[in-house]
Amino acid sequence: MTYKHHLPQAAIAVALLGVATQASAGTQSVAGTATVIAPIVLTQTTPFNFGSIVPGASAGTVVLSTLNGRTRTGGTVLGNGTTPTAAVVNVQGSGSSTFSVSFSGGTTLGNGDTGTMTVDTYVMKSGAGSDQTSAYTGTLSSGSQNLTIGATLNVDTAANNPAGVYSTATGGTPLTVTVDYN
Amino acid sequence: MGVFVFKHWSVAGFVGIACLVQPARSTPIAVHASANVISPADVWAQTATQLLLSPSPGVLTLTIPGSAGSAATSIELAAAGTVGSGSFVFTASSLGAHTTAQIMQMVERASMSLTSSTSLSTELSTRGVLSGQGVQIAVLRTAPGDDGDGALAVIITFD
Repeated sequence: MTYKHHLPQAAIAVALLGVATQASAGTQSVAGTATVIAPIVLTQTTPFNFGSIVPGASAGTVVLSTLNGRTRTGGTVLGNGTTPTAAVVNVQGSGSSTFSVSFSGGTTLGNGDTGTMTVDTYVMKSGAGSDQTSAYTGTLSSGSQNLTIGATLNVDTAANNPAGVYSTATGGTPLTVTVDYN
Repeated sequence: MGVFVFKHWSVAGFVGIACLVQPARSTPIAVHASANVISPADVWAQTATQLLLSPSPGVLTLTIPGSAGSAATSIELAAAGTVGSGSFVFTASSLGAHTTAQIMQMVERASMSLTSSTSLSTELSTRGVLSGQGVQIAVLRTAPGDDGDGALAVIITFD
C-alpha cells in the first residue's frame, strides 16, 4: 500500500534529476542539488529630472546624460534653477548574474493642462560601465547593481510648453523598466 | 527501508519543480520624470564675475562695482523680445556718460575681456557662473554719442 502511493513521485524525482538508479534491494543515497535563483527586484532610486528649461520660438531638445550633464538643441535654452539628475534604478538579484534591460511605455511629461513633452532615446550604463544606447545589459555584483539612465526630452515651442512644472505624475506617463535574467 | 528511500526522492523531486517555476523576469517598475519650464523673465542668478545679476521679472540689473572713491552703479535692462538661439537679450537704451565711462574702466582693469579688437567701445564679454551653470555674458555698447552716452545690450548665453 505504501509502495503504490509513493512510486509515481519517486519516478518523477528520478526523471527530473537525471539520476540513474537500480531497483535492487538495499539502501542507496541519491544526491540532488538545485540552485534557487533569487527573483529580480527593481527599485527606482532616483527619477529623471531634466532641470530648468526655457522653451524658445522653435522646438528643441534637452539631452540628459548618465553623468547628470545636459546639452541642448534647437530653440530650447537651459535654465539653471534646478539640478538635473539622470534616473537610477537599483536591481537586486542573484550573485553575479547577467541580465538584460528593456524600456517600454511612451514616456511623457505633462503640466496638468494641455502642455506635454515626450522623452525618448534612452542611454543606460550598468554600474560604472560604459553608456549603452541599445541592447541594454548589466551584471549584478554581489546581488545588486545600479542602472543609470539618461534620455532626451523633446521640448516644444514656448507657446505650446508654457511655464510650469512638467511631470509624469501630472498628466504624463512614466517609463517602464523591466529586467530579465540572461 | 525501501519506503524511506522513496520518500527522500519524492522531496528531491519537489525541489526540482520549485526551481523550474522561479520567475526570470522582474516585475516592471515605473520610473518617473520631471522638468521645470521657466520663462525668460524668471532668469535670476548671481555671478562670480564683476557683473551682478539681480532677479526681477523681465528686468536684468547689471551692477558695476565701485572702486576707490566711486560708488557702484546699477543699470536696469529690459528683456528684449523672445528667446532665440539659446540666449537671452536685455537692453538699456540710454546709459549716460558716467555709466559708459565706468564700463570702459572695467575693460581697462581687465575685469572683462574684449571680443573685438577693433574698438573698446564696441563689444566686450565675460564668462560667469549663474547658479552653477556656466554662461557667456556679452555686453554690447552701441551708438556712443558725442556726450559719451550710449545704448547697451547684454546677451546671456547658457553653456
